Amino acid sequence: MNSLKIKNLTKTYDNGVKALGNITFEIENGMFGLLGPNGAGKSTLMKTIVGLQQPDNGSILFNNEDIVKNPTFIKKQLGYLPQDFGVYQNISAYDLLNHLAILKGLNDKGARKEQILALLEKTNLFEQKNKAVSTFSGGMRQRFGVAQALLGSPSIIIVDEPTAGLDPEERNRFNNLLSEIGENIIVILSTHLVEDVRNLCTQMAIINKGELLLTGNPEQFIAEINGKVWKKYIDKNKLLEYQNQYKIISTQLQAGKLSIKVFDNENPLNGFTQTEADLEDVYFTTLQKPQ
Amino acid sequence: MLRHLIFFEWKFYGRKISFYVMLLSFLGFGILVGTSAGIAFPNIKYNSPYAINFILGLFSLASLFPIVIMASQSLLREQDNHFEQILYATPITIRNYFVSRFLLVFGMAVFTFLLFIIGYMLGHFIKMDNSEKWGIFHFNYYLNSFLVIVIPNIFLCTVIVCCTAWFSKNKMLISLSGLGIYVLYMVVSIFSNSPLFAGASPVSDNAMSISAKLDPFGMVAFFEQTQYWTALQKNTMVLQLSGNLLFNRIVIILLALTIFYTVYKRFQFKNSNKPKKKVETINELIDRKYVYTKTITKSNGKKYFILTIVSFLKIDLKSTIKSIPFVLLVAITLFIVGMEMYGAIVGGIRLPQYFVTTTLMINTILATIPSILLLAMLFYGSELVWKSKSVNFLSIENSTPYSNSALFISKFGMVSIISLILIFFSIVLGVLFQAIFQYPIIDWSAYLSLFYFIGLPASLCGLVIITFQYISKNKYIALSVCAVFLVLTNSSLGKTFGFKHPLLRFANFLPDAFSDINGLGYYPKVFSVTMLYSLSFAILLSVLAILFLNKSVLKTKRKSFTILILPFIVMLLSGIYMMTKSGGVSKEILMNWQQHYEEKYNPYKNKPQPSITDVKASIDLFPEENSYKVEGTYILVNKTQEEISEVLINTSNEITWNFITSSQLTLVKKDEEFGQYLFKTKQKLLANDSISMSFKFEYKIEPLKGHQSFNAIVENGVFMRISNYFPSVGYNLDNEIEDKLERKKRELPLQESLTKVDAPLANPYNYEFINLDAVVSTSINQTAISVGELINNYSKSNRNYFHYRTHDIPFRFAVSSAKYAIQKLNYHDIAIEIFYDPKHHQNISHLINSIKKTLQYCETHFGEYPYKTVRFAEISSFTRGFAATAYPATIFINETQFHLNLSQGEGHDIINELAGHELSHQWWGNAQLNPDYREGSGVLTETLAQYTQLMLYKNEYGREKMLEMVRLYQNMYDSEKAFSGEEPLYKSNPNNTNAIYNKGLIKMYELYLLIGEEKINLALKSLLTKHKFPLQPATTIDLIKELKMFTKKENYTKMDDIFKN
Repeated sequence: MNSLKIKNLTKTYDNGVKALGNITFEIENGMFGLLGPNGAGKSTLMKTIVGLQQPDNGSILFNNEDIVKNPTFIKKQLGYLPQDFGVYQNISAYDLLNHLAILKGLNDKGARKEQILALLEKTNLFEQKNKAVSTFSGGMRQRFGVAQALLGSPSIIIVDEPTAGLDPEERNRFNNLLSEIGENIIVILSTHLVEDVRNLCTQMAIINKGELLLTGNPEQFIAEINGKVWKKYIDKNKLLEYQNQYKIISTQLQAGKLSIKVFDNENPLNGFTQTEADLEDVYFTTLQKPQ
Repeated sequence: MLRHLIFFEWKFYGRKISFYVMLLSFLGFGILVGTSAGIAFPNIKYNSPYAINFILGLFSLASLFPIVIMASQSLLREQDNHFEQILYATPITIRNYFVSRFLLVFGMAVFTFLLFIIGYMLGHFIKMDNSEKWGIFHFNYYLNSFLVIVIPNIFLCTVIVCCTAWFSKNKMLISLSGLGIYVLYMVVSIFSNSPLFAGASPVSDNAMSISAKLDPFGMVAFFEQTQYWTALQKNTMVLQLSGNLLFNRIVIILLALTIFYTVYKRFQFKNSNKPKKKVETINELIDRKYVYTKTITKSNGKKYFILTIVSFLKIDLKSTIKSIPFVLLVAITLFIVGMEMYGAIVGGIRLPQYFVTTTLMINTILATIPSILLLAMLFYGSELVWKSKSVNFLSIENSTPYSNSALFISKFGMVSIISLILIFFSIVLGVLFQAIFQYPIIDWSAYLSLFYFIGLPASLCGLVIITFQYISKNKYIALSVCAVFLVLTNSSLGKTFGFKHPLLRFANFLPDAFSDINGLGYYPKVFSVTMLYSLSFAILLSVLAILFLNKSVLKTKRKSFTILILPFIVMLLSGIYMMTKSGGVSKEILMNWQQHYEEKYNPYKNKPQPSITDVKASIDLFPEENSYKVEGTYILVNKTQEEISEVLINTSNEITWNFITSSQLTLVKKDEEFGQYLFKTKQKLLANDSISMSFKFEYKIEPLKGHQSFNAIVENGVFMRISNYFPSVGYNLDNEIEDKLERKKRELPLQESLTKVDAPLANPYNYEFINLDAVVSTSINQTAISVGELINNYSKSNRNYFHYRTHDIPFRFAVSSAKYAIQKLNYHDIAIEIFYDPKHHQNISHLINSIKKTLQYCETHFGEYPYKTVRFAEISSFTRGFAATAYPATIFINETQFHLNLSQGEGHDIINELAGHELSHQWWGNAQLNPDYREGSGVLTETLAQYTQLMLYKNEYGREKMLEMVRLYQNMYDSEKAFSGEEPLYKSNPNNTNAIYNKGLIKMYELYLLIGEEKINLALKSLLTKHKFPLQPATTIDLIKELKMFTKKENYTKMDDIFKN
């Protein structure tokens, strides 16, 4: 069983932006979703775990080894897919995977080849293995990213907003791949798409403005607020009125009409109907809780 | 709008520190150039319009640096930041966008160059004094060349670079366009034989005029306009905007405007993201062959370390060699090297084509490629380090456990590979040229050695650049620091800034001194030592960088610093070795020595001293060991009418002296510092009394010190004017400081001026001639040559001995030795012997023919040849400074002027010229007509030899060809006369080679037109009969007198004009 223990992690950038403020949590094998709006500090947290950045304070223990002091320890068993990455010109998918496989320590030539070809098949890039990655489309490039993250035998995989910019089909395929590999190891998936976490993760955390707001099991969170979410279609112009009156957690346009959701222990009446809570409601209520 | 855009740009740069660093460095650079006064021309003042034009024109190319940096930062900024689509959606007009950006780049380039000029002027102010080297300060001089030369150059460069940027949208191409302009400049300079390139041979006026019109940088037009200016004109006149210069400047500006306008018209706001070829996702493959299983990794140990290095190398190599910039770099390299090779082969109009030997190709490569490699190293050293980051792949790579040392080593490997690739292509080109010109001998091992001799220093430069990049964490700062470091420590420019000492030089390339006869000689020894020093320095630096990269190491393992000890010790030891072995003496120290010598020994200047009359010596040469030993005896005779009681013997400090003794003399003082031995005679030496003296000395080349050109005891093709190193008697005038300014500064009295042409001469005149008896020995596989007649030769204890003897020759003799091939034949009673390198057989029969014709001509017209033998011996190019040189009965000829392809090229028949000129010195000079050193004495030797050469050339090739030769010499004379001064021939200084050789030939041609060949020869014969040794020597007045005897009275004035104008 792998474990990652993060304790009192803080990071403030040179320009004064507080990216991480005293973050503490623990995770074990399984998929862990990290939710938060843009700029919440997700990427900073991930880069810090990977060892690309040094925290100001705090410790990160991976399998009880301090990886702030010894980043090589995690790098030896890590798969990392950054939010945004480029590639060298003129290098084919196979060659680039081969390069990264060597860097990861797949020293045996035969085994290396076997695994690379398997990953290329798995990510549906087999046919394009001799084409330069720089000519790939966004989805293909992202699949390449997954392939490289799986090289070797990672015991922790960190993927940062992997489905951004993918079409629904690509996204689906990608998520399947993730869940397939996510057993027996730690997978940290950072995203702002609640649905992905809902579909994939057994554990999750929500962070915003560098603060950890919530960690736990998504199903449990949903169960906690179930029966307290109310929905109503209203006239667009009356939104302000409702905002003053109710605790609106989200608004959504549906076929030109505005649907609003409120969180309340009691039925707010006034035409609201109870609706089944989902993870999105958990997310929005968490973000809106006074901190 | 325009104003707003420019203001915005300013806000962008005003915040960048590197921007101010650039500005400051230009100012500092200007001060450096100003104080070092740049390049010195004889008689030209440092702050003359000529010197200012030269410096500013030369350095106007430096503005490419800010132009390229500004263009790549500013023109593609939107693209870099993916801001272009937003920009293109704004109402900004093409004109405003275009013009504002262009103006910014142009303005900044002009501004930085202005700072350079301000620095340059400041430098002048700092250094200026009242000496002759400085004129009055005129702001106008600087302004003139700024406006006429610099501004149009910067304008053109900016247009080319900016237009490349807009067209290609590729940063590397921007840098390459800068490089391309530099290349263009080089090419133009080569074609125009610009004085920027030393050793350029003269071009015809016509060719000059064409290149003056077309040279994009106006330098040729500048040289063309000023080539016939006198020193006074060059010191006071600014460039005139007229003729080819005006034409050139207008054309350049129009050309730039046209390019700019065309690009402007065609420029549209286009999204540079060309539609990428999308690779279709084809199938949702069902039947999978491979199964993904986790594979165990091992990310430590040697195998992993090496595998990662190789993998990084492979990736860099694949992505580099397929990239456009690299292909262009190779193309440009091939172009430059090819041009240089072709230029080296063709020669020019002075010389015929060279044979395309491996030596010629290698020397061209050695002279050309180091600067290209340095630029390539600067570029790739910086690019490779930042590549992963700049393509945004770093975060993936960095999530793996590779070691920084492996990455570092792979980057070093990559720059080395790049340099090896460029060397490889140069070699291929060399071999191709050899094949095309059908030269049969290709020396593969010599070619291969280039990978070591060029590849190693280039890689070391690359290593230092990479190290700086890793240390500084800022690409441009590191680049600037490296550029400065390498310019100072590696380029020859650095030497002018005082970085001369071998310890201050880093990774210097081998000089282009490959010899066809002797190969590299002892240079590899020097190279290896200096490389060891540079290598240990570079390793020290890079290990430090790696240690600092792994910051954790710093905290935990202080022990890892022990790894520094080995390179440090190697550097220390090699440094100490170089320090002790390299005898670099600064100019200042040397002049102090000269001054002290003069002050100390001046009293002996006019003391009567005996003359050397007989020299007997055994000279043992050990070419393989770069050493020789000499043991000899002198007979000294008091040829004065006074008593002599003190004898001062002067020896060279280059030499190790074993002893100088005489049974008739007592040593009073041995002055090691100045190599002086003061003896007292045991009995006073009366007139015609004689004493004998014996001595022994030896010499060995110390590779780090190098050898003097006339003391080249090299492995094969030895040449020494060994008499220079024999003891001489009395005060040595050659030790005095000659520079008038320097003498004035040191408050030394003026040197005695040159003896006047009509000064009286002692009668009888003491020629100070000697009888020479020399046994020269050398290695068993070599033949040794000296002067005079060969009496005997034999082999003993595995060495060859040659016994030469001759009488009544000047105290000036030489030896050579090599693995010679020999050709001998008789012409009448004279033995003609040619000693040559077996590879250089092509011109032997032609040389023999020319010798025969010269002998026939000179014997018919001037008198009998004074020896039984005519000997020509080829020597290696390790001796420089002459094409051929004549000694009694022996003429030494340098391989570079001998191994030429006479049937090709537009040059003259150099063999015919050399044979004619040098052989005639057996009449004009040496032991026959040997004038005393005075005004005009050079005419009686060199000018008369030139005349003989001209007549022989005419007889061989006809009047047309003779006229061509006269025009060539006229050209050479005109282009040099500003520096040499114009002297009437009959009073010319014997050191003024432009007068006695070039002007001499022209004037003799005029004389030939005036009275004809026959009359001249009659007069010369008469002169020789009356003045040859042992009769009283001739002066030019005697020459004119003899000539007049054979001239009609009405032509006297014309004849006087020839010699006195």
